[in-house]
Amino acid sequence: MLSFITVISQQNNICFVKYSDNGNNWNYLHWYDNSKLTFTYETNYQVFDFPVNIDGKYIKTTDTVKFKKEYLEYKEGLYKELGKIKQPITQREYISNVVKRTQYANENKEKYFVLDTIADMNKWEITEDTLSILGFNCQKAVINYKDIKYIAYFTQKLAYPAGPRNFRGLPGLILKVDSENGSIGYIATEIKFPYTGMIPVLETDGIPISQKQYSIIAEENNKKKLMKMNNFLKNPSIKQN
Amino acid sequence: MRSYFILFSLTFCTLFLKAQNIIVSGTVKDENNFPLEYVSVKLLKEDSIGIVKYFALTNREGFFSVTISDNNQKLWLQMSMVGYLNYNQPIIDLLHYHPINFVLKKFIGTLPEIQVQANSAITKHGDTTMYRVSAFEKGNENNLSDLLKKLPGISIDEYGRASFNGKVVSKILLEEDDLFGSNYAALTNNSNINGIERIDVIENYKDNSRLENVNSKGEETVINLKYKKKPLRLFSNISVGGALAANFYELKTSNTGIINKNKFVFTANKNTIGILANRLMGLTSDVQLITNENEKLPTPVQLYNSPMQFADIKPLNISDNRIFSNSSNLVTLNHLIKLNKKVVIKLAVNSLFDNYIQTNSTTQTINNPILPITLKQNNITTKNNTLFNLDGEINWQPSNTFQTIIQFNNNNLQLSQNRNGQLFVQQISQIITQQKNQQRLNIVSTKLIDKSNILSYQFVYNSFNLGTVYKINNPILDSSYGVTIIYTNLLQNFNLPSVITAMTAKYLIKKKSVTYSLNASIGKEEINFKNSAYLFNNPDSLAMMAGSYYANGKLIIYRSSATLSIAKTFSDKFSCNTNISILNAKLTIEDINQAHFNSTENIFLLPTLSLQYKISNKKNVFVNGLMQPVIPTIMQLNNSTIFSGISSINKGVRQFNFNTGYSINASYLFLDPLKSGIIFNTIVLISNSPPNYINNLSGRGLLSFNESVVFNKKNFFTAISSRIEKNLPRIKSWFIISSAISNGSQFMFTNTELTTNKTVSGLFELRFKTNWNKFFNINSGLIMRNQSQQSLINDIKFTTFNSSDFISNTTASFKVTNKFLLDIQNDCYVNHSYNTTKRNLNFTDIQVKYILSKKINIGLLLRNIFNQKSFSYNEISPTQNISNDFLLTPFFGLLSLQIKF
Repeated sequence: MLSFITVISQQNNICFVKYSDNGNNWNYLHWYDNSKLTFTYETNYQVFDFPVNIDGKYIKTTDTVKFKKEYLEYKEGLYKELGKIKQPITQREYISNVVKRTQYANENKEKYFVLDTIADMNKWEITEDTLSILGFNCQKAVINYKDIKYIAYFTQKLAYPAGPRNFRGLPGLILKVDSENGSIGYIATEIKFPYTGMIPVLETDGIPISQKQYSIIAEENNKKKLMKMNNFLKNPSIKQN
Repeated sequence: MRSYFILFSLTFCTLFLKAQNIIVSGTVKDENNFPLEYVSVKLLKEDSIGIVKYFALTNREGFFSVTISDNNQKLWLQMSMVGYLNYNQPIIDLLHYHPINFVLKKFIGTLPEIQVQANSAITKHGDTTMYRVSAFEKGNENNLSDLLKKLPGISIDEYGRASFNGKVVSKILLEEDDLFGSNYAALTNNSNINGIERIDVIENYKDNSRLENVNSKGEETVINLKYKKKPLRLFSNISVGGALAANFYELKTSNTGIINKNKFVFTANKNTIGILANRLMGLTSDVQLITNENEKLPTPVQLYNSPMQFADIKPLNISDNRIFSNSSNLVTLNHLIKLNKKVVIKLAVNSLFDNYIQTNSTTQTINNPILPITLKQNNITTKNNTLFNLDGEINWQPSNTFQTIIQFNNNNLQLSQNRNGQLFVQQISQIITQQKNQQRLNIVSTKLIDKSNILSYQFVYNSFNLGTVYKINNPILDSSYGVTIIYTNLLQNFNLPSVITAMTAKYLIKKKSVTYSLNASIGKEEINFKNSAYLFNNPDSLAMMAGSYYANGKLIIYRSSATLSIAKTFSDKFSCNTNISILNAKLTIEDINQAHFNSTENIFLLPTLSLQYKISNKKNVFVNGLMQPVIPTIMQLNNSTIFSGISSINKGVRQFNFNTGYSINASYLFLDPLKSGIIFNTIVLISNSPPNYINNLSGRGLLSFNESVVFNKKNFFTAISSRIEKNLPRIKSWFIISSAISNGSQFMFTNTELTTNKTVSGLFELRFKTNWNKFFNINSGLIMRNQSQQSLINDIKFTTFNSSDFISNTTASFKVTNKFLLDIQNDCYVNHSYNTTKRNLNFTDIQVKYILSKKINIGLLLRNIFNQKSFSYNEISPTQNISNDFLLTPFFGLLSLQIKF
């Protein structure tokens, strides 16, 4: 659930695209208009194994048919925990390298307005290879960005010079991008145009900091979150607030 | 030395020029002169839909600059920005390119909607609804028709013709190419689904292979089949099946190939399990020829039917395979070759053979108080029908501005049918032999004068010949028709050769949002008809029957017309198309036998109006109104009498009756299979041209009499139909409710008596289709149909007929294991008609499939497992009782081996 301020899209040329990453753990929700893009995340966490109580002992199992009730309860609890976290909202103008982000930390108690400047991404090499993605005919382009080679496929039918997250600079929307070693990759799984629903709004009233400063805060918060998650996995019967 | 220096300089300059980069730059602004930033500026390969070779994005000042390394290329400059119209222009002289200021115009209106989801069964891109086959395929489909029936929004009728949300599908394309025209039933009924990956339904489709359509709006609804990408795109299926005991067998194959510049579909079917070749071909009767109804012709081309025929009798409209024993062969080949960029050739060859038998008997008791008569008639009707069809098309387009299309069509139909039986105690033998030939040549040439002006010319030549011989021994004694007992045989000859020549010239001009077209056409149809009846005892002594049994005449119809059409798009939501046509029809009939000559002429004023209002991307309203000429047919114009069976006579009425018919229809369509899951249409139709003429029947002695009635302005016909299909995602099912009500009144004069036929019919259908899982699904439907007809002569009630049908059909599909599929199908018919006993029929079939491997299956079909062998019903009235018995196809089991590759 997207728990932040939203506005109803009143324009008729906003395109909504949902990308999933290669690990399939996150969905990246993007809204593109004529001048900028806004994006955020939602979890797509896959539950593979879960604890069940057999004769007083908790053991991990993957049998979602035999232990269907326990599986659903566990998944619901986990998603509730994950859903409480307010995901960041990022905005960037297409041609600008400045990224603005509303970021929450410390169990949503702190709000930051993060400004970051990213490197140029304008040395794309276009090839004549094509690929069909979600019914769109896409053309291949390659770039060497920060010493990593990325292969992207863009479509001219959606003339937004952007893509997933901060991939940008091609004459059409990027629907798929992968690093050469496969460690990073995004692919569009849903497109809606024109989009007439709610769009998250970038809140600028948080504590203004740079990306570097936020990274330090984030690392500390992640450690705390991980500890909490492990506790829950060990004893899922404890009610979480 | 000096010469070396000059040579070096020249070489250096040439190399420098070759190596020199060309810069394409400019500024992009909107109509208010404000610079536009983030505009995608692309240099595309060859044309405006090509691959991007170079690109740039405009900056805050709207400025862009693109560097091109190879100046020997043909490039198109394209600029795109969401919310603005694309700008396209070819770059003719790259070397001398100068920076230009460009203006992008804002797009006014509603952009085409896109809703796409990965792995979604259905996605929608603007006017295209795409179905992913793997989401609907269950493995038990015998042909494409079985798969299309499972797709929401698509209906298939018993002949294999499709419709999508109330709109008729005019063609089925094979990866954007049309191989079949309107005769795609050959594909839906015969072709396997092997290799099909996706099925697209495209609304507002425009056939871009025809140059004359370049400025037209797309109006057709088509289906496009997308096949899997493989190194060798040849998808084949062979099935060989035989019965365990009895003469039932089925051999069939379907092969689809998409190889380089060739696309073809080859199918063949040879069977004795009741599937007629003409039904597999989608023909509505055994006397129909194969023609492409999508072709617009300058004048209507009539393909007449003989008045002498043995109609197939199917009680309760049950399917052919329940009632006919047959031996049928069908071979079809549809081939498209793209010889080069300028020439495309299409070829269709269809060969049909049907030999089938129907057995029925009738006992008719006439309640005459003085002398009750009982007529017992046992009939075995045997038909041997052979149809050969060859269609071809050559599309020659030497340039972007000129195209010629040559089409030829040839049909050759031969029927040899007999009906043997018993009447009273006499053996009766009736024979009909018929030959029907048709050849057509159609040439269309189009010249694109410029983007807005098109000139096209069309010439059609059609030659048709129909010859029928009817022979019956032991004719009925009936003095009112001059049939005497001295002679024991009757022979009737009916011939109808005709030639049509027509041409049309069309000029089309487009100015902004209005398209004007002026069309002039002329045509001549010449029909010679001969009808004669003879009585004889032996063939050497034929005595021509006196009276109106002999006719020899010629009918010539001249048509000339001028049509002005105006099509205007007011906005992206509302468009209007109006025609006004003036048609001059001159009819000349020459009765050679009686040395009569008649001529008559009429001028018709025929307006047409079409409105389309797009309320939103999901909702559309259409209103159409048209007037059409009604010109009397040859059967109405001559007054000769024709025996058309043992107990019926047809007669012409010799009336010159020109009329104007009208038809108005309005429809509302709602298409949203993804969000609300609703597909809905409702259509209202008002007309004075009823779809079927109901012939007047009056019993005269032992022979019934049909007149070829003429059109009457007072005829009135209305119909309202609705269909809603709703997705129930929680239970993964779709339900469908359809209803149709029609009401018609038809007026005619028979021998100065005013006869009125009034009909009311209603149809209600409820259907439930599931897509629960791969293990178990149901498709179940219930149809309730009610018809009533009342005939009055001079306002006095003459006959009344009422009939109610309840038809249910249910198919339960099981996937017992990954390799074992089971389908159980039950069809139940209940009919209750006025003055008849209640009739019930129940058929249950079981189909089993065992998947040996990816390529091999074993099938077992058990048809009519309760072995319903015959069907009887009675018709009771104050004057007569009729008892009918039909022999049905008994139970059989067919074991088959299916191989696909």
